[in-house]
Amino acid sequence: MHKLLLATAAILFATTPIPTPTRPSPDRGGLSVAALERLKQLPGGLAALPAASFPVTPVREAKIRLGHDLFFDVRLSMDNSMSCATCHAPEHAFADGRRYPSGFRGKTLRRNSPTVLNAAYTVPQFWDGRATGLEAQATMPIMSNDEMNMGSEDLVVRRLEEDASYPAAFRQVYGSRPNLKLVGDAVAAFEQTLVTPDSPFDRYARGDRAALDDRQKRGLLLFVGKAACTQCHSGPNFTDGGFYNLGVDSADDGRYEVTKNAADRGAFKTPTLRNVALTAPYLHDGSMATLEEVVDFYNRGGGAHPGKSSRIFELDLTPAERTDLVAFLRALTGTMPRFAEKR
Amino acid sequence: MINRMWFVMAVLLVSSVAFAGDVTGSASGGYAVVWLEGALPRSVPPPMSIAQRDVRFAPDFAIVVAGQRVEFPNDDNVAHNVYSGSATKQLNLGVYEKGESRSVVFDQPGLVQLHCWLHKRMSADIIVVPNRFYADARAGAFRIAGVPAGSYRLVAMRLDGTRNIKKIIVPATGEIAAAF
Repeated sequence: MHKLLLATAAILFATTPIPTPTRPSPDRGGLSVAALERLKQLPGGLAALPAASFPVTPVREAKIRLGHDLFFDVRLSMDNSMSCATCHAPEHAFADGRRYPSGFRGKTLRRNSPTVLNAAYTVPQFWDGRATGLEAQATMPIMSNDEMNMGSEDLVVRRLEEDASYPAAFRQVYGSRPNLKLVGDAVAAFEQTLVTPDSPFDRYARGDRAALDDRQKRGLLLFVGKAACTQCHSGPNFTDGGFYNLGVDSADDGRYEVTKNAADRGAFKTPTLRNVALTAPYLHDGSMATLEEVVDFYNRGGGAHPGKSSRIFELDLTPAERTDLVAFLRALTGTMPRFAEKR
Repeated sequence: MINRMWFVMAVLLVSSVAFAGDVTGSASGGYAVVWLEGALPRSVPPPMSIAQRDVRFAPDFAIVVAGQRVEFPNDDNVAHNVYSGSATKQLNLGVYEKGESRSVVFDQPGLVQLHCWLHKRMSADIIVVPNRFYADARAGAFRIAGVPAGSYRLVAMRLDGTRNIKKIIVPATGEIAAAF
């Protein structure tokens, strides 16, 4: 009984509202170029593009040459009109410069053509990630009815055997007749050479503090900080290989088509930002013509389409900050790969 | 005689530990935390952690005992800052990147509103209480258990910093109820 005794001692009442200041302006210090340059490594895993790790053997040289020839060969399309380079053209930084690519017999395809440059550094391929690795990716447009439309592996082999140089090259590299899988392997070997080191950013990341100007450095600070780009555009190739819905108004289900997971509806792969100044227009639907438009889009917290990722939010960037961010993006243009277009 | 005195003192000591009651009650006016002020034992809990994750503070609300250290590890692929201009505690931990952590000891009781200077959507509220005799009141009801018998001030605080105070006497056994 006494354990449950409820004390009835007098309770004195006193209400004292004490207002507390809410959002004061802090010391502006903290994030500065000087602080950034003291860091041992850049935030977000940003780094210079690592060197390719393949030993250059005579067989590999021959494989790259074979892949090169296949990449530019229109015989890999049903009506001999398209090659890989039709939508991944060297003069357009290995994209095509259009909103939507033109496929078999001029059919308008539904997604913007991504650059092949540095694709070797990212595992998932296509905007929806339906291929894993370059080898698997390379043969899919060749066989797609909407694209190169070869229809069957037999036709691919027949076309390649029409030209005596291909059987010889396949024998030299693979000790075998041509087949579709080997076509993917050879094209991938060529694509692995399509890398662009030595952008101003790469030189900066390797320690050349003069490689970026002040605007670009301020843009880098925004990229890893206030603009929070490195949430997704992280690592040496400026992509986490993930899939996100930006709220872009689109009927395209994106990653959902591959996973059938409701959370992936409207999500598309984080593209690399290397050479982004050369690969307009932007987004999976090519709906933005300029980098300024893209930065404005992110600044206002993306689009209004359902399912938007929580990583997309209003950034509160000033006009000067938006200009700095674009200046940094333009510093991601590297040295274009050198190769002979025709044997 | 001396033996008997020691015996009495020992009994008093043991019973002062046993003479403890609970403070319970309801706090319907939007209060976040209630705590007791008065002659109470002080002990500082081990450090706690508020992470920066997905461009948010996680958790975004914490009750900290005066003297306790709070770590602010950055788990994001984005640089963050931690600052507060609150009267209770002003701080600016600077900007730091993933894998790094900075920490602060909160010594004054009261409300501390934390922000990230870089990301406006990031904020967290810390309420610093003077001792371990406190309870989270956000659900509208609270219980502070094992309070030594005696008279105290029971303080309730909202997340806007306003507070309400009642004087209470905690019984040696049982509980006392208070309503805010």
